[in-house]
Amino acid sequence: MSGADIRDVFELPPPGAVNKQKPKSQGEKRPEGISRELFSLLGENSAPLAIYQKKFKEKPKSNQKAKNWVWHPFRNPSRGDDLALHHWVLKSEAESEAPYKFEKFNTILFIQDYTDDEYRELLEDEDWSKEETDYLFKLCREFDLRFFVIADRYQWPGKNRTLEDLKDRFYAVSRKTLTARNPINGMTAAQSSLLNSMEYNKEQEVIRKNYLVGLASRTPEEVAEEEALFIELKRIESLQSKLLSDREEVLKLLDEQKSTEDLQSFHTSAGVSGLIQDMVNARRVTKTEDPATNYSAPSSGVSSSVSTPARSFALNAPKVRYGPSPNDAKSGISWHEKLHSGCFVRSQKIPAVKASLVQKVHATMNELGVSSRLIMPTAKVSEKYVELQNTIVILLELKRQLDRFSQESDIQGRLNGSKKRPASPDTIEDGRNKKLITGSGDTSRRNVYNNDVL
Amino acid sequence: MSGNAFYGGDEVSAIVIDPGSKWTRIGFSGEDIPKCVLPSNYGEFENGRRLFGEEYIYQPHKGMEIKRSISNGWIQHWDATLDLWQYALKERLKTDPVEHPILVTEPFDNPSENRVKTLEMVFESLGSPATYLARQETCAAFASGKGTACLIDVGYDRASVSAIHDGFVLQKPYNVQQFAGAALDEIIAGTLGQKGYETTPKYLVRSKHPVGIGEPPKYERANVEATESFHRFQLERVYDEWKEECALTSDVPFDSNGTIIDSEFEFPDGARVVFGADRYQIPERLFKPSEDTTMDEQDDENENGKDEDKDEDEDDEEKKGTNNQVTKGTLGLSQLFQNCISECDVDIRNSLFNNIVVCGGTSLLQGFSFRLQNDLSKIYPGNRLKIHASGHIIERSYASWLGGSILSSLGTFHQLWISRQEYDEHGADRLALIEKRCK
Repeated sequence: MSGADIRDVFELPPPGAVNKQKPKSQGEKRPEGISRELFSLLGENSAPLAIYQKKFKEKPKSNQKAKNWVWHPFRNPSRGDDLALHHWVLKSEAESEAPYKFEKFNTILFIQDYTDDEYRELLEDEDWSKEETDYLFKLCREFDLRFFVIADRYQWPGKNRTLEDLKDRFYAVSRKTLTARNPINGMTAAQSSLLNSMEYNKEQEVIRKNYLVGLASRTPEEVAEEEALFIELKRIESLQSKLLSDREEVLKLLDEQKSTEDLQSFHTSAGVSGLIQDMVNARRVTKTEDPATNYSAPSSGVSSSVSTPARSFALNAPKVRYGPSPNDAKSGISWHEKLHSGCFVRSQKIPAVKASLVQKVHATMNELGVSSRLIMPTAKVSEKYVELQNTIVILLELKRQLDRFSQESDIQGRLNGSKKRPASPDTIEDGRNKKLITGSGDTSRRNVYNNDVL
Repeated sequence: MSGNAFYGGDEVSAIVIDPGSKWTRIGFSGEDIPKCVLPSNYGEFENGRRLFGEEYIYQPHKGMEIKRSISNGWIQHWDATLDLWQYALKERLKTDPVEHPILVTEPFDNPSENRVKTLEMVFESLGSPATYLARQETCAAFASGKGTACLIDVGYDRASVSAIHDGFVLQKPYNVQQFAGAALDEIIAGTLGQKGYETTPKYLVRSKHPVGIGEPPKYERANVEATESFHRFQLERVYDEWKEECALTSDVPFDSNGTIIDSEFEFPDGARVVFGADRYQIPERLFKPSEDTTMDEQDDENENGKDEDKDEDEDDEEKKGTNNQVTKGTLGLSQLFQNCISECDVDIRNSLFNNIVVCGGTSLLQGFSFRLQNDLSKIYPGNRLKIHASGHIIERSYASWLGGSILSSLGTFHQLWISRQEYDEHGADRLALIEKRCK
């Protein structure tokens, strides 16, 4: 690598060329008396100027020509006179002579009027003179049936009219006049609806208003009291419903057994099987009502067959039986609540009790002398076993409830305070002795009871 | 504005004049503030020359008496009122009343002669083509956008509670009392006097020097001569300032054992006084007036409790200058409200409760609406009370003017004007005309 090549690469000038071109252009020489900084701002070195362009905002361009508005007089047809007020209106509209656009708001309420003859015939009233009735109607027209204002401004010498009085008289007169002029049968729809709107029950209104006044004039204490009572009521109701639901629960447990007066019917096998049949039916009904979608419930099954076009067939459709009949055992038909698929070990399929009760149930069985494990689980045996198990569960449940209730009643008793002291054993026995000795009068050994036994 | 909404306005360039006991508001209808608000007081010289407007009557002129043209909301001095209105219309609004229909507001219990005289003044002296006399209570309710409302208006001379149903003021529940801003001014004067302090209004102070709190003021007294009425008038301005700055309504009936926040007030002469319980006790008088029975009692008719709009002889006595004093019969605002509501029909009470509107200059006292809400809720428990008190000073003070402006710019209102033609045709019984048209 020669020096020439290096120079070439770095683009250096040949060695002879010394930097003779000193930047001669120093610019102007700073004159005496001016500081360096100041000079750098003046003359050649002055800062570039900001250029302002004197322009106003552009005039908004509008395609439309300026509209021509005129100060135009107008008449209001709702007025009785010729007053001509002025307002600004587009020239085009002014020349169009359109009707005053607020005229349509001048609605006049329809108020029945009556002639003097009609008054004499129909509308005479002891309490209301014609002048007063006229005055009432004049006010009604003036105030557009705003009865609150009418009642407030009503002043007839010698009479003190309540709002109900005024309304009653007004509606009565209007109704009578309307029905007199248009017999009920011949009324148009509008008129009959008008008549219906004129129903006014004065007594009811008075009662309602008095009630409202009473309601409004309750003192704050009364309001608080009423609210407290209301809350109490709600509380009692909820407690009652809770009590009822608790009772239902207990009864449901007892519902497994039917309580009838005549137990004789259950002493025969037919009776017992009948009972079982009833219970299973009852269970089946409740069971099939709930999971209605899973199995085709009997009701829906029947109805679906009914809804098919072949209605006549439905009546003749074979009646499907869903419960056992007494003859089943003879013909070998057995009914199962739960059907198992495939082969299974019967002892495995006995329904298990709740884990919390398992211990107690087994303990009870042991007490009764029944082993908790089945030795020979045949169909009948396991059925009985299941029955026993269920009964024990019920028994335990009832015991628990009984314990709970007796505990609560004990507590209640102690809260109330035992005012009655239990009679001492002596008095009871004396009473018994006396009774026996005096009552029977027979001193034969046969009739004398041993005190100890008692 | 949606396409389906129908714009209900139709401005006919009417003028609305709302005369109050302290201020008269005159402006164009359709606008949201009156262009001209003048004091209802005017300055009168011995030669009969009158001056109107703040910039004139606040200056002490030699021999100028300050008189009131309107008292208790009723026009007392008809010439002066006419001059005032003409001054306002010609010099301030720069209009000629001949071209404009004029709406004049009036309080509900305006005596019948006043109504007739107003009508005559507008038609004959001002020469306007049409006029209407609107109720101030209705207008104030309209300013809040309500046709049905219970209006509590606490102004300068009068405090009133009125029930308005569908734009009509109900007569029997109308309760008015002459115990409002002016009464508070007198109580303030009494309180300051008791403290041994003599208030110096601004016009007497040429220059002042700063002093410490509680120290006697150091100022140069201006060498001006002014009448007694002028002096009293200027004192009221100081009391106004005090009411604006210092007065504080307590949330609950004021008890000296409760929290008291002190505040310092600087009088025009530079004196700085700290006010504590007085801050609360003075506005408290609006709610519980009869605390202090040591005030002078004068023998003029005071309207307490219910008032009725009938022509009665007592009206003449009212018109003689009323000096507001606390008498035994003055009721608190809550009591006035109760009286009003109990006279109303049960069926509308609910809608009245939901639409309680508060207006009037004195209602701008600090804490006023809150206290009112508390007091009324105690009397009427339950959540049905709704008080509408606009936060805007203009809307509260000028409520009746605003309502008049709204009313007279409605398209549907223009059938209600009483035109000159009707006035001429009707003949002598002008009262019947007014009573028929302006309900």
